[in-house]
Amino acid sequence: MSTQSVAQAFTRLLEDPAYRGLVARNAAELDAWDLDTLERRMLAEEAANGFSSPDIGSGVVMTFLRGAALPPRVASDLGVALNKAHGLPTASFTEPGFVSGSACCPWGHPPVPALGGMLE
Amino acid sequence: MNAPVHPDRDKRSGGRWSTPGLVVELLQLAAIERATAHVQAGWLAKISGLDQKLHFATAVESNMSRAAALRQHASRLLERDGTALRAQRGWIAPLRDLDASSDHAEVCAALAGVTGFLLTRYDDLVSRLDPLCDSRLIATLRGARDVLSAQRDAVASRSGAASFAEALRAAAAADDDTVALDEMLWRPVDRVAVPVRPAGRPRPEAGARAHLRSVSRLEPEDIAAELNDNVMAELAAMELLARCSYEHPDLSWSFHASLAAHVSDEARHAAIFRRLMVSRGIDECDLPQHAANYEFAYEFPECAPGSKHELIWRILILCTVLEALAVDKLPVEIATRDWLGQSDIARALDYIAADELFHTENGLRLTRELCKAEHLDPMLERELVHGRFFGRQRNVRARYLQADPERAAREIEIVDSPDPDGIAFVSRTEVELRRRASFTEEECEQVDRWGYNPRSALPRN
Repeated sequence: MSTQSVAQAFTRLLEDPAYRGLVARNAAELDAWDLDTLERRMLAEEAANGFSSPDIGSGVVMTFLRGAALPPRVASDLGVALNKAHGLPTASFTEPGFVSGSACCPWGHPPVPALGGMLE
Repeated sequence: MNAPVHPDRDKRSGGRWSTPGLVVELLQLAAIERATAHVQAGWLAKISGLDQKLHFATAVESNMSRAAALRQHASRLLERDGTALRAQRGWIAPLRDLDASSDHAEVCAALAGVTGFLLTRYDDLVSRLDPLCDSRLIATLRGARDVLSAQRDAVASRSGAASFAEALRAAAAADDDTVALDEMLWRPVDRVAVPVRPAGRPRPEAGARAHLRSVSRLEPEDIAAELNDNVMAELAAMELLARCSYEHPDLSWSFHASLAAHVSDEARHAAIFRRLMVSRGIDECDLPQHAANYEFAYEFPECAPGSKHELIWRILILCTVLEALAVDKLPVEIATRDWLGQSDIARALDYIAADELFHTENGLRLTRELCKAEHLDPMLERELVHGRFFGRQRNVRARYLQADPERAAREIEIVDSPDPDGIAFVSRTEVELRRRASFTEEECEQVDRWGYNPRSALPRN
């Protein structure tokens, strides 16, 4: 149950900058979650560090969560939050010039990448 | 009183089995077949000719299947003593050396030599077997012979084939230390971020959609672009999965057999689309080519190159996202082609749709096993790779649109226009089909949240 709370609290920290600021200033804001001392400290440290983009997915919390048996929806929500934090899409494209619901399989005819490498 | 020691059955007059050294012979042939599959899986992405690529892809499964069958026969004769399934690395040394070559023609010729070598060995072995006691093995070898004979007829004239067959014969006669059969393969000699395509064919500009429909599906121009891009997608999937196998030789033979069957299916799909093009008088030589899904999914900044994490992301995105979405989209594509009277295309898509369920189930099973071993969560990892993969598509497309506003405006107008054929069919998350492929309810909800299809109207448990 505790790892689930860590995942859910981390998801909230990723998605809600105001909450992240509160936790960074006062770790007691995490008391609403079912966390032990170590877990609370990890989350507070990550909140205080401000989630520098390249490290989001490999910080102490994600390392702690590796191998945890998370409920599927909790795992999915965490992934969505991580993607948002990285500026990555979380759903089908809807912008002009994209085809909504497409580019997702061979019959969607995806755009062609730049030859020889990925520009992230 | 102590029981008497059993006589050593291997020292029986004439040997234990119908032919002396039968088990070792089976292990040797299994090793050569397995190593040949390994070489071809690695080289698929490095050879340019499409016919040769498809031949290699089909052969990967043939070689892998025969290797597994021979291993199974050896295991049976060994009374399932897994520790006795051993091979000499020297037997496959010519293939390991060949894999390090940079000469495409040499590799193709040498692999033709493997075919000739195996045919000779299988013929010889069948002639020495007991038609009754070894009937099951004989059936396997005769089946192998039929397949290999057809291959030999196609490649018999390649120079260099005979000398490579001779090298294999010499290696087979050598005597060396043994290793476990499943651990005999060598590590990959390279990585291939961009697969090779035939020279002289144009590649679309980065960010251009591989096919942007602006005219009716009945127009030859649209049919050519559609079928050609289908070929490209099948090739990319085939090559990526082949590299997944080649770059992870430490995984189980059952893992490689699953990937080999999938690779062979993708080759057949590409051949089906190419045949449709030929039957409609379309010359692929002037049409654009790319390997979009391979390039988007080969490596990721989040995964160490060559790691199991990278392997999991490749299979998750290709098999459990893209091909699963094909399960959702194909019913609409098939209905569209039937409605337009293009029954040849509809029938081809029906065959492909049937395979997509296996591919998706295969991908789910393999990634669940790999995630368990690597302490990763499949739902979380699928979400993450989905973001990275489509982030790449979004970025390259956005740059393309920003680079030329007038062109962007034209394309946006096309995208926003009514369907040129008035097609009203709408895709759904095919929950029932996905369940048959072992998708869980939560995994169906995950794809629903991505929004590629309206939520399925089918009842849920």
